[in-house]
Amino acid sequence: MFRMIVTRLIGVFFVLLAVSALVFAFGALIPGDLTSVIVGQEGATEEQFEAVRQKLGLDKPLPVQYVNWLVNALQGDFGTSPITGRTVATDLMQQIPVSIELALLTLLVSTVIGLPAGVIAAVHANKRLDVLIRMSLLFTFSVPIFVIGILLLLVGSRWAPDLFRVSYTPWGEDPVMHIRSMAMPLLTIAFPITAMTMQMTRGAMLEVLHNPYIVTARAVGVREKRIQYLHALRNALPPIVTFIGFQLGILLGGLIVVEQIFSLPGLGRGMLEAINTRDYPMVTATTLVFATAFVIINALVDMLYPLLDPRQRGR
Amino acid sequence: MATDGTTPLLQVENLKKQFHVRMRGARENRLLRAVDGVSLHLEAGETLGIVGESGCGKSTLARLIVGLEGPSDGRILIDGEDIWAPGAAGRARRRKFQMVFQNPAGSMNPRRTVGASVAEPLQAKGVRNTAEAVERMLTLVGLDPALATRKPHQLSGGQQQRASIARALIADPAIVVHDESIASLDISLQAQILNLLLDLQQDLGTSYIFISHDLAAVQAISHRVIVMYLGEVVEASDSTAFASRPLHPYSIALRTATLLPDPAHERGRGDTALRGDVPSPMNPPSGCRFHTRCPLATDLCLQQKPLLRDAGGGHLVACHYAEAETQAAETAEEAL
Amino acid sequence: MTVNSTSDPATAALPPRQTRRPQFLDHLMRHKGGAFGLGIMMLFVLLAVFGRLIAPYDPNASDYLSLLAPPSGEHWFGTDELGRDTLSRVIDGSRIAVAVAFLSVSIAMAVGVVIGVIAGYFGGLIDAVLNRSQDVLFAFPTLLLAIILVAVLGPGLFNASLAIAIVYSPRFARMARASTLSIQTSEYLDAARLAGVSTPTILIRHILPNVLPPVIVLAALSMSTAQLAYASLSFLGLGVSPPQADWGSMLSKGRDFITIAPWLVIWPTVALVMLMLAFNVLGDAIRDVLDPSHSGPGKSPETVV
Repeated sequence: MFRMIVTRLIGVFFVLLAVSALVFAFGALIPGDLTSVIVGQEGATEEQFEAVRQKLGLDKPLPVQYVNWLVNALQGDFGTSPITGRTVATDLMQQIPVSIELALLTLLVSTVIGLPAGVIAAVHANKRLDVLIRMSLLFTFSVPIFVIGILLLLVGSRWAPDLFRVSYTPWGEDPVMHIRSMAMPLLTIAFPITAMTMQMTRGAMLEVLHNPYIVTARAVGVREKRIQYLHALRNALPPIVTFIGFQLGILLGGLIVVEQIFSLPGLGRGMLEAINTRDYPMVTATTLVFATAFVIINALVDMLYPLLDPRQRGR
Repeated sequence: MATDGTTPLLQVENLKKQFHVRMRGARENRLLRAVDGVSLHLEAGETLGIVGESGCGKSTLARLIVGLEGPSDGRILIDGEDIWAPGAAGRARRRKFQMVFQNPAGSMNPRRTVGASVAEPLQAKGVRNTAEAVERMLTLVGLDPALATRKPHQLSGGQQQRASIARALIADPAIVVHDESIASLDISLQAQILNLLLDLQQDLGTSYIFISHDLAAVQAISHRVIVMYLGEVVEASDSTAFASRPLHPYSIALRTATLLPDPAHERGRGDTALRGDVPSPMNPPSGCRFHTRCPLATDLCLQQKPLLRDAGGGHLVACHYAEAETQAAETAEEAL
Repeated sequence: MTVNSTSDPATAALPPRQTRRPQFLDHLMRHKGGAFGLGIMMLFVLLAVFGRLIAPYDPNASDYLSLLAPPSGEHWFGTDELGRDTLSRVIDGSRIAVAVAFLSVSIAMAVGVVIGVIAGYFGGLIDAVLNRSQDVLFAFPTLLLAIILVAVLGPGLFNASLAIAIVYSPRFARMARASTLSIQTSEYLDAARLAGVSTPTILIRHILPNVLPPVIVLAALSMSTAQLAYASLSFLGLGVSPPQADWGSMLSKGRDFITIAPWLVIWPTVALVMLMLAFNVLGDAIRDVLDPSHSGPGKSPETVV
């Protein structure tokens, strides 16, 4: 067990290394010469050009640049954005909490609603309630997040202008406004994720409910509710949990879109702006954060699996 | 048999093939000596039978001979030339071999028609118009040429095997290796196919290497026979001599174990007198590899590996005590 | 392609095989969803191809007299802030949507199959290397990776398609590799090698036909998600540049006017959802026809982003 964790961690480490290299390479490939952006077009002399180049470290070969960048990044120094003039780290510090909050809330909402809903659907499988739920699910799966967001905007502008016309306010400033500003984005992104959780739970539960030991429990006289929640759910958990890791990918993509739609100052929007303004340090930094978060959380979920499913532990 | 001094069609010299195998849970790789120093030769137009149980390396030997795999050591010469010579020369030599596999449907892609599969060797040679040759070949093996448009699964087992034979012969190879090619057919079909093979050999002059665990089939079709055990040749002779007087204890056991529709033979069969299971090829016994199961085994057998020696008339055997057993067996049979 | 015509008793009892081309279309049409999906998809394809001829107005022409006009007899879907007819723009946008769907999936399929077959057939180091690199790609969330790629390549139709193709190719590679491995040990491959067939020919003649059916199913199923991925990209401003009509960017622009001109948002959405449903249904139908053993419960959640 311990050995497995260590091996996993080592694997994660290498993946992260590869990812950072990849991200750096991508960043380096972004068209547009950083130096000219900084120096500006007017009357820049060769020396000034060279000076800026040296200052940015762009004259060194790529692998060296990569190492420098990585070392700095690990210390929290991502350089300065030539576009905004601020250090990238400052922006990151502001944006990350927003995204994290949204992500966590989404996870919370989707699990709290999705899990029980899935259990109910599985228990009432194929009856009208289940069918109804499944049809609405079909719709939610079919539609991309930004469409949901726009539809919500539409609906909001008509019937709930209060929620609609709010721009982001941090918790510190005004908690109520904060909640109001987060409501719509949360709804948008939680919608499909909840649907997915529900679908997944339903599927896993159905599989488990047909297992012989459930039938035995019932025959022996264990109460139905207890069967459902204790025995069945517990055994259905592993695939559900791993699914959460999978959801993460969707969540991350969704974050970007939702932040854009509702103008939330999170990491996703930061990344998009950086891309559009060719803010090379910012792009690499945000991408790195996203990728790292993804890899780490996936690894954690992976390691969680054996805890939940004793059969897996022997590996 | 190369008494007239000409080069045999096929010469296999001290062929070896080893595999690195990692057993589950083991630390290192073990060496599996599938073929461990086999030498043989084949003349044009004759059939060499190779007998042995599963695991003795005959399938690996088959693949080595036709060139599907390269040897770890040793040489394979056709018409005196190395089939593994680099470049086009080697390739051309390797093309002189063909193989008929055990699984009748196996050698044909289930998604292609029988005709297309049969034509493949010819196409690979660059021949454009193969229809006629395919028709001719199918007729030759006793199949209705109309079957060329069918898919393999639409043919019966016997028909599939005939088609495989047609495919093997269509590009006019010098040598065809049959790797248990009739093993999965019904007995009556086996007889038919064996007869077909004999007829084809007469018509086309192709040489065969016939590999099987079925002694009866091998003897029916071969001019000469070699017996393999755990990757080595333990006996070699022409088939009549072998049929009447097998020398190696293993061969004798094989023969006694063969079911024949002959009441006298059956009555006298008794126990096979072999003890134990076949040892693992990864850990062959010391000395004579057969000593763990041999009724004649002594300490000498454990210490010293017997080499192939001529026991008279070109009949080679690798055993310290060959003649002794034969006399005992003959006495036993005469007693009946 | 029946067997009854033979006189050979051995073959008379075997059932005929049914995977020839014309029959496939036949089956597809008989499948309820298949006909529907095919129909809608053909509609969009027609719109894409002939759109410019059918559309009532030039999608980029401005009618300065009716800016942000609600739907009317003149402009069925209303107009946008520059006076451009929404209906025409939606029709024109279908060109992009359909083109990207086909293009990205085709590229992904081509690249994925090549990589998968090579990895599966040759095995060893090549397999290990290719696998690892695919895994790294696979690890990234779809949209995220696509965004990054477009950031590198620059926006535009072809680049966006390429980015999506790169994101999707690991799936195809994985599938192709699995199919290749499943027939890797077949004897007819040995027989072909023995016959002297060259390796490329073996790959094309024997391996590929085995790889293609599940790959085609995957391609069909991927069309809808590919189209959505592109819509997301163009929504975020990473697709074709204006003034070319494009559903995603229309939605993005329409956001600003959502209170006063909801039709700008509604109609592209409808078109988007319809095309996606069509692709979905068609994909499911193709899968059912080509691989009846499949019995999945529902949609893949990946369609969401």
